This record gives sequence, structure tokens and C-alpha cells, in this order.
Amino acid sequence: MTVTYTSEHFKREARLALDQPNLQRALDRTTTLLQARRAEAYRAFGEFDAARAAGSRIKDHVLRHLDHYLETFEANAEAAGCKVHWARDADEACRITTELCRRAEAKTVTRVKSMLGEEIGLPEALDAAGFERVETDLAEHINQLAGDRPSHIVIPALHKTREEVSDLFERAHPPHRHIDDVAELVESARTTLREKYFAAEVGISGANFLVADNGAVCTVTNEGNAELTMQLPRVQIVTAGIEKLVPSMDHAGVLLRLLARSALGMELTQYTTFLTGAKRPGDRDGPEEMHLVLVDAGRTELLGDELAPILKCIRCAACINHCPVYGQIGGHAYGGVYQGPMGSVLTPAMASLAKSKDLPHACTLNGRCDEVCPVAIPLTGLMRTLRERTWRQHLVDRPTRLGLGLWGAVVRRPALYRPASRLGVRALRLLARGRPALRRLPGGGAWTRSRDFAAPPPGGTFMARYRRGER
Amino acid sequence: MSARAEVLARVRRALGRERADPDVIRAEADGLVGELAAIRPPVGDHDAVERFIAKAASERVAATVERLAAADDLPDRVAAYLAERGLASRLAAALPPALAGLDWSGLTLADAIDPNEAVALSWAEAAVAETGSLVVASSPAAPVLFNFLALHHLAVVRADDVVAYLEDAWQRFAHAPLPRALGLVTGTSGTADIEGQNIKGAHGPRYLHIFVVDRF
Repeated sequence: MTVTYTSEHFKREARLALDQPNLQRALDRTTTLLQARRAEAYRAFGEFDAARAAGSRIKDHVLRHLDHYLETFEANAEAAGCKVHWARDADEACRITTELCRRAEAKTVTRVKSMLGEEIGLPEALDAAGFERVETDLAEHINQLAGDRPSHIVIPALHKTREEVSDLFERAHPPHRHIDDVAELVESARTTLREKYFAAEVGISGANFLVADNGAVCTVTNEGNAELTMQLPRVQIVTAGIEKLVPSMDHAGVLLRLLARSALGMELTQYTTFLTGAKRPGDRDGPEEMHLVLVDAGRTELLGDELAPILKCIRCAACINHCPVYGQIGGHAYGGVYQGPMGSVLTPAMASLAKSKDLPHACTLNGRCDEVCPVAIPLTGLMRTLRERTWRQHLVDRPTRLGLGLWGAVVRRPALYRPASRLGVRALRLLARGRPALRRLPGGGAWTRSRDFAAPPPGGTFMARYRRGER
Repeated sequence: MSARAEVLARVRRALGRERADPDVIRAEADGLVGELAAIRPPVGDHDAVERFIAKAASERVAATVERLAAADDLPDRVAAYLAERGLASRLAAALPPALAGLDWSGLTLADAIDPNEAVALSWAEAAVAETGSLVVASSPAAPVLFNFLALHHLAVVRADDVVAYLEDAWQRFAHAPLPRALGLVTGTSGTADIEGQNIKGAHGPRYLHIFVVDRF
């Protein structure tokens, strides 16, 4: 199944997002709240920086020994009664999963939100294969009813207002009555989804961590939908990227402490579950079969690349919540499954840079993402690397290329640059006529259409002021 | 080439080496979590049970907690919980023999759980002072759903089973195969998916009531 997401229209989508007052309100409210929560959790955990360094080292260590951990995990998971499958790419992963559903004679398949699932196009593949797919995460349930894509990896329906949810539920949930109250809306979803949990023959989830030394699959949720999805159906399938491994429970513990704090400012999510294998003799519930699909889908290619640190990502969304660009344009503009800084690295790195060339450029390099990443991924550095690649691969448009080429030629020659900048400063000050900023700049419409152009301060060029001793 | 062989070959190609020595890897991995005290929040010198109760009852975890001097009091306290909330005197219960043998004559205990069960009583193998979490483990006597399905989740834990840190919780299971489903329950089934409003009882429990029992 080919994923139909595309980031080719990033600029247009971003401009449209800026004109949506509802979206702007939702973004502002949510990102402000999540930033405050994370800051509070950070302050309350004096060892956060040390834990972050440890989390980063754990992820580096696993990537350096990924083959060892994959084999160890596989052996232990199989010994515990979980069948492990391997998939080279998204198509193969979807094929294995839909085939397992078919063999289980499934009609209804419940799913727990998994970014890997979205990435490989599993929802579309399940639909195309004719299964009734039921998203159980409340936000994904809303998105499924609306035909929307997730706009945030942790809070996928961030873009929806209560009124919109109310309309969707009135149409989809019997007895089709109008509800305004949020608690009642949740209750309405609870009733509808409860039936599906029991009806489903197969439950599918992702994994937050795969524990190598005991073969456990770790999932974290606040809703507790993973527990019902994984325990009620006869067959349980987990799809997980090969980078999800950790050596042991203690290593998972370090990352668990970082994950919930970074995502939502919580010490732990409400439900953290470690699953090993299918129902055991005497067990009164649990699945008859447990399957796990280990998915490469571009990860091994990244592993040997400069962009490899993005494989450390634990999908907490702290970088997204703290990104001023995301805060303005929201998630849909990114066009992919992943948003914000991590998305601006992952989407071009895993799909095609040509089709998502604008993403690494949609960044002010303010570095807040670097500061809040719980595993210390140098996100802005990776975006710079991608920017260089758009240049080297001739993906930058002609006017920009020519402009930058000219700029480069001038700044490399001080004898040219100094008089040129003197002239420029004088011209800009003339145009500004004493005002601190220019509203319009001849030839610079692309800039001044949406923001002012700062006028140079009095006193001439930087070099002139520096020589006069203004330092 | 199988997908398995191909993915592993790609990994080794990307890492630019052949198989590494497992003993060296293990030593390096152990070193990464060698000094846990430096990378986890200190639980402090408080009594772990007191700290667990405070955490579990905190605004974030939002459980209600009762400490019982003796297990014999449990049936009465469960009955009182139900009566105070106007709930029927029937509940689904998955209890170890020590608790199943108490005098439950005032209540109807079901050993199977109904899809729309209002109240379920379960046993926690341990509790974590660091986070206010219950540790629930599946076994023939402890089906998983009793922890995740009913609107009211009532759980029993022994005061002696309260541990300080997350690591202490799973350390208890280190000498045998891990239970098939090992869960940390830190509150109730909640969602903030609609306009950020915190709503309890999204799919499973809306209420969590914990009995910490001192003596059996």
C-alpha cells in the first residue's frame, strides 16, 4: 500500500493554516499548556539532565549494536510464545499484517494508534483488504470518522473543536443525538467502542519499546485502549520499527521516565504494559496468538547515514510542542505522518527529499527542539544537513540559487563585500527614513508580504562600528 | 534471501562490521544503568507506603486510597465503597486464595467479568512509591481484564509489597519468565483528546480505589 501523504504543497498548506482562526486557537492553547506541563515536570525532576544523557547513550548503544539486539529480542520473544516476522519495507509489513488478519478470519480489526502503522500505510491497507478497521484511540476515532489525518503524533485530533466532534458523533454514534458536553461525548465513544473491542477478531498495536533480554513489548497509553485492544481479540499483532529496541527493563525505565514527562508533563502514563507472548496454560483471558512484525522501511538506510541520530527518537512530541513554526501552522501542513522538527527530518530522510524539500527549510534554527529532546537528538543540525542536501541535489529553485550564488561570491571577497554592504546599509536607511523597519522593500516582496524588514541601526556597517570600538 | 537475513545484513552493512562480542555489549549496556541513583527522582527517606499513598492520591494519579490494618476488614470496606456510591452489591473479583477465603457473604462475587461490568476487584503484586503505580501481573488467578474494563477499579495491595522505584517492581519478576501481561497502572483511563479537557473513563475505569493492607 503506497502512502498518499505528500509534503510537496507545504508552502501553500502552511499559508492556508495561518488563515484558520479555529486552528490557531487550538494550537496556541495546546502548545502553551504542554510547554508549561513539560517545564513543571522538568523542574520537579532534578536528575532530568543526567537522565537525558543516559537516555541518549542508551539509544546510541542500541543503534550501534542493533543486529545483536534484534536477534536477542527475537529469540526471547519467540521463546515466550510470540511469533516474530520481518518486513523489509512498508508493503511487506502491510502484506504480512493483512495476511495474518485474513488467516484469523477477521471481519473487525481494532487498532491502537501507532505512528509506525500510519507511516507504513497500514490503515489504508486494512481498508483495502476489506476489514472493518476500528481506531480505538479517541483522537484517532475522531479522525477516522472525519476522514482526517493525525495532526500531532501524541494528540492526533488537536485540530478539531468540540463542535466538530459533536457533529461527527451525532452522525456516527447511535442513537444519533446531539451532545455538547465533552464528558458526554467521551461516554458516547466509550459505548460505541466497547462493542467493537469485544467484536474484533484481531487487535493491532505499535510498540514504544521492545525489551531485548526478555522479549517483552512495551506500550504506553493514558486511555487504556491498548490493554483492551491487545487482550480481547483472539489474535494480537504488533508492528514495530527495528529501532524500538532496548537492552533490558532497566533501560526501558530510564526512557519511560523521560517519555511521559516530555510528552505531557506526567511522571508515567496511566497505563504502561509489558506483553510477552500469547495466552498461557490456565490463563482465563488474553490472545490465542501473538505476532510481532519488525519493520525496516528505510531505517537501515538511515543507520549508516549522517541522519542516523533521528533513529533515537522516542516519539514524545516535545520538539513539536516547542516548535514556533508548528505552533503557527499545525500538523497537516507538514503533509506527512510526522510533524514539527522530528517530522522535518524524518519525512525527507525516509521518503524523498525532492518531495519534501521545503520541510528542513521551515525552521528558524532557534534550537528549542534541541533543548527539549529527551534523547538529545541534534534536530537543527540534522535539518542543516538536509538543507545542504537540497542544495547539492539541485532542489533549490533557480532565483534562490542564483541569489545565494551571488551572495556567496560577494561575501567571500572582502574587497567587494565591504563597499557593497556600506552601500546597502546606506540605501536601506534612506528607504527607511528613520523608521526602525521597512514595510516594503523593492525586490524583496517575498519577505515583506508577511513581515517587516528590519532597517539597519545608525552608525554604519558592523565592520565600521567594530573598528570604532563599539564592541 | 529471507527478509530477516536481508534486514540483518543491511544493519551490519550500515554499521560497517560483522557480529560483535555479546559479552562486551552486555558490559557496556550494564554500565549505562549502573548508577540509577543519579538518573531517577529520589523517593527520599519517607516510609515507602506513605509515599505511595500520597502519590496515588495526588491530583495527577487521582486514585482514592484506604489503608486497612487487617485483610479481614476488606469485605466490609468493599461493601461500604459500593453502598456509599449507591452501587449494587455485585462485583467481579479476581483474588488470590488468601483473600478469596475471607467472609464475603454480604456481597455477590463473580469470577468472570461482564463486558459492561460496573465494579471489578483485583490483586496487585506490588506498588511503586516513586510514581504511585500499581503493578498488576497476569496469571490463571489474575485475568488481565479485571484491571482495565470496569468503571470502578478496586485493587488490593499488601503494604509489604510497596517498593520504592520502578526498577524494584520488575526486579521482583526477574527470576522467572515475565508474567504474560505485566502492567503499571497509574490512575484511570483518561483522555484529553477533545479540546484538552481531562475526562476520566475513556474506555476503562473512571475510578480507582486502592486498599493497602498491612496484615494478612
